[in-house]
Parts: sequence; structure tokens; C-alpha cells
Amino acid sequence: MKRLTLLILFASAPAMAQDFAYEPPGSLVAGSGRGRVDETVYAPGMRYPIEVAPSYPNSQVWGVGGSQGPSGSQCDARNYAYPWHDNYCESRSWDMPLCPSGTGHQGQDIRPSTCANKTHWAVAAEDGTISNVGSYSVYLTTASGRVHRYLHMDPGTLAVSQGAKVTRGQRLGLVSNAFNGTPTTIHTHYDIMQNVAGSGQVFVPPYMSLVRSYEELIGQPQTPCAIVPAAGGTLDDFGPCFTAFGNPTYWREVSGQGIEGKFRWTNAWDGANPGNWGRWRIHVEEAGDYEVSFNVVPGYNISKKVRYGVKHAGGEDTFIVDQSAVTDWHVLGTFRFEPDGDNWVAVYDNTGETASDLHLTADAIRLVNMATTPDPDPDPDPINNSANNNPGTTNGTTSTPVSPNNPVIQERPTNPGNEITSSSQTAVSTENGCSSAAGGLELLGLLALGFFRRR
Amino acid sequence: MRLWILPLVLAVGCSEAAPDAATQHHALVAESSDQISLANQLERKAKAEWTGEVAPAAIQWSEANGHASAPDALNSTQRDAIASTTLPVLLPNDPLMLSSAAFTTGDLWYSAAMRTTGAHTFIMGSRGEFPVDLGLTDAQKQQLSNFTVYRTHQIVTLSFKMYGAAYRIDVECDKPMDDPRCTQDDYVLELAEGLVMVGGRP
Repeated sequence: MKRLTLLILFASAPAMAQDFAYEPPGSLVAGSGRGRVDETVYAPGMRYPIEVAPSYPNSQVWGVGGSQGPSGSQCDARNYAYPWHDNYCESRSWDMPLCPSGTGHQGQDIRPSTCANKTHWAVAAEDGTISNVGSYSVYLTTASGRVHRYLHMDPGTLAVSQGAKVTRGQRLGLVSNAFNGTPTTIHTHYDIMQNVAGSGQVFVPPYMSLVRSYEELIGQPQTPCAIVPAAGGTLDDFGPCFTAFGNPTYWREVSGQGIEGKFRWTNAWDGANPGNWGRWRIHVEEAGDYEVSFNVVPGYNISKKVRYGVKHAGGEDTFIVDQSAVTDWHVLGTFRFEPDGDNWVAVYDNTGETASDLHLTADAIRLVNMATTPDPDPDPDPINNSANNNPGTTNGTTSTPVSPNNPVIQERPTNPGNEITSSSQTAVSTENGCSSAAGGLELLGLLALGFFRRR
Repeated sequence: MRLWILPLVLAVGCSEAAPDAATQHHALVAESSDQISLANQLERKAKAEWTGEVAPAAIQWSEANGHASAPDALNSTQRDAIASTTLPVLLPNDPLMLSSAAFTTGDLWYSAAMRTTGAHTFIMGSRGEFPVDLGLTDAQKQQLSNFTVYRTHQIVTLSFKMYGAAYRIDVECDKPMDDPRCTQDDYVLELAEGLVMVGGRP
């Protein structure tokens, strides 16, 4: 299969309603050490650990009133202002192998909205159990074994005890300066430790998990993984918008084939719930009706009942597709996507089939804006069976016509020239995440402004 | 001081070269039906057991069973709490700590909160691995898997891998700036050296 050079076009994030802003991960207060640049959200879906916004993760030691910071009070307004500062790798003398210096702070210091003592609640980041209560620490362990640790809550007013089951957002205790008599500021030291494959129990960088959860708390739209330009674009399974769920052992990766030269496959099975599934999140620059296609790789398309889900402006539709009848690109339908909508395409492995080695491909999806690209020949589509039994039209959807008896699968062009790229737009390859492909300085500036210092 | 080094070898995700297009289907059907069936059975079992975020690591029970044990160290309530734990339950060999151990357990982990004079001790073991990429070299992974001592706000954390599971021991002192158990590494390392196996099953 011809390797395609597929490009995703990025643009600056839309203006945000609130003035939340954060310095990028790894950007520490000047003089406080070298940070770790790590965009990973290690605790996806967590709740921000302070109950009410605003809240200000930043340095205590290098902040105003800190031992290494400008003189003044800890209550100085400069400590209670955006942008946030990462301090996971802030200078300490203790081992922290993930930090560039080999030592560091291991967690993130968080100020609540004001410096009032014993006033602001810290809350459970996830459902779990209070596994330990020390003299100035509380450990919350989730079902997966991730430990969220909170330090300096007031021990006299703790709302939980060892062994308590807690739910996401439940009050744990009041933010204070409890440290067994050792002076510190009014703040929560928050860290996450989890068992990372190949490395063991590791204090992982919590900063981007805090950013994402705070965006959710204040109602700010999630930062786009990438923005599909007005004409459309392709989202690869190794790009920033794809997430592979389930046991990673059974998402096999194959190099040398597929879009961007790499793809995933797994085997179909008859589980009640998906075992392995994947999702491409979609953020479009312009609202419109987009034709959505997916790509399969011959030899890895054995399953005949692969379930796809499409979330679009009009709701969510399900399609059952015979991948074995598909050779490369295949159209799922045409759907309306809005720029701030919850849009995605998902593929699931629980097809209900029981035979062995029913491979199914997860590679790339492609969006073509029907308003900007003429459709020379609408596809008769023998494969799609919309689960809503209304395949021609869905709520908010203009689906491709279905012709069940037509065995021909019409192919969409896969020539790179037909991919959505224009000289007026800056292209960023999705391979290996977000590496800049060409002319990226201006874009990087936009990204820095739009993604990290959004106001 | 003797330290254990037991690297965990676990396949998380597979990477393979693409077969030649003309032969790939042949390669797929060349396996015996028994092999295919067994592989698919294992895959289905693993998919059914998937808990959502973590993959279960295999425990090296033949080695773990050789660890110093103290099967009668816990009372019946404590034993019941860890009866379903599927990894070696290691605890400090200290009667005061053992008697105070309050357990919390999950499908793939256990933890015990313990109290001793002037300090809280917490131990956790987990065989549920998060498949995240920290971007580390093999040497860095090895360093993390061995005995690594962390310390923040004077709470000492020792992490290490043993028998395929990952463990942490935390010590938090009532007088964090003065108590050598929290200002120095020796105490937590000695706790680790003296761990006894009090439960766990395949």
C-alpha cells in the first residue's frame, strides 16, 4: 500500500471565556530548577482536587514569601494569579529520576482561591478508598491502584478516615498548613503515584492532569488534540487524537503498512463489553457536514461485524461493518460536526463473533467537508447497517445511501494530492505525536499562546 | 547492604514487522489450529479480565514462595481482608506494625496502613501496570525498578519491584525534621530487607 503523507493542520485554540492560563509543563519559576516537559495526562478524567475555582498551582518556596522567593506575604496577590507554574521538578535534594537533574519535588503545590486557613475543601480526584491517613497526609487509592496523595489538610477537620470509600469530588479535608509544627504555606501538596509498566511505582507528573481537570471544573472546552481544517483532514491512529483502550497487549502494532506507515489491529470476540477499542476525537475548525471514512489494511480485516460509533452534532450512531469486504478507505457516512462539539469516531472489538483470528484494523479516519469538496458520485454502500435502522438519514446526519445488494465498494481517492493540505496553512505531521513538519515557528508561537497561555 | 533486583519482563503491546503482502495470509493460516485456538482463548480471557486502565503482570510465584514468610502473623480479620489478593502480600516484620495493619485491597493490589511509635508506615503492592510511556531509557527504567528512595515534605517513599509486582513503602514521622527514620534512608531500607510474606495466592 502506498504510504501517504498525511497532515493535520493545527490552528490556535479558540478564545476562551475565562482568563485561566498556565505555563507549559516543565516551565518552572526562574531559578527553581529544570522542569520535565511532559504533556501526558496520567490521570485522565480525574476531578480537580480542590473543590472550587479559582485555584493556583505554583511554587511555595519560590513564590512571594517563600524561602527562595521575593519578600512579602504568602497572601500576596502575585501568588493568587494565573498563569499556573509546574513545580514537579522544582529543586530538592531528593531523588526524582524522571526530572532532568535527577532530583526534584515529585508533586505539585496547589493554592486554593485565597490564603484563608482551614476554609477551602480538597476533594477526591477519583472514586476510591482512603488507604492511609498520616499525621499530615491522606492517601486515596483507586480501583486501578493509582494513589492520589494530599498533604497538609487540617487533621482536626478531616472528613474521611482510613478505609472510607469515597466518590469523585467528595470532600476530604480543609486545605491548611498542617506539617506537624514545621512552617509551611496554606496549600495542598498533591502527587500521583502509579505502577508504570517497566518502571514500577513512580511519582508521575501531575501537572497536565491538573490542567485538564481544571478546564473541566471551570467549564472551559477541552484543549483540542488537533484541529481539522475547514476542508477536512485525516486523523491517524498514531496521531494525537487517537486513544487505544483496553489491554495494550492485544492492540498489535504493525509497521510498514497503513496510513503514516503504521497501524493497529486486534481480534474480534464475543464479549458483552469491548475488550479493545479505539477512539479518534474530532475537533473541526468549521461547522459542517463531513464525510467520514476509515481505512483498513488487507490481511488484518477478517472480522465481518465490526462496530463503529460516530458521535456528531445530531447524536450518536452505530454502524456494523464487514471489514473483510473493504480494501482500504471506506465511507461510514456524512455527519455534522461543530467546532466545540463532542465529536468522535470509535471502533470496537466485541463483534459477537466466536471464530479464531478475526482480525480487525484500526488505522486512520478521514474527514471531507462536503461543502468545500464536490461529491462526484455518492457511494452506494453495501456495508453499513446503521443500528438505528434508518441508515439514509439520522438525527443531524446525512448518511450515505445504502444499497444492500450492491457488492461493489466504491473507493475514495487515496492519492496524497487529494489530502487536505494547502500552502496557506501550516502543516504538522501527526507521526510521533505533534512533530513540526515545516514552517512551524509561527505555528509554535500560536500553539504556545493558544494552548499554554490561553486567555 | 543486600538489595534485591528483580526486573520484570512483561510484554505490553506488541510490535512486529509487516509480513510480505503476498504471504501474510498464508502466514496466518500456517499456524496449527490448536495454537490459534489457545492463543485466542488467552486473548479472550485477557480481554474479559481487563479492568479498564491496567494490565495484570505475571507473578513469579516460584520465587516468591521462597521468601521469608509469617503465615500466622495476622489475626483472622486481617487474613480475611487479604484472602483474595493475587500477589505476594509483604509486610514489615515488626509485631507492633503487623498488629496494627489496616488493609485496603483491589483486584490487583493491596495496601496496609500501620502505626508504630512516632510514625505511620504505609506499604502497597500492585501487579496492575499502567501502560504509559515515560520516555525513559532502559537504564532509567532499571533504576526506577530497583530500590529508589523518594522524599517529599519528609515523607520517605521507597519503591521497588519484586516477583513481578511493584511495591512502595512510605514512612511519615510525627517529628519529620528530627526523626532519623524520616531524615535518613536507612530505616526504610531496613524495613524492605525485613519484609515477610503474610499472604497472597496465584
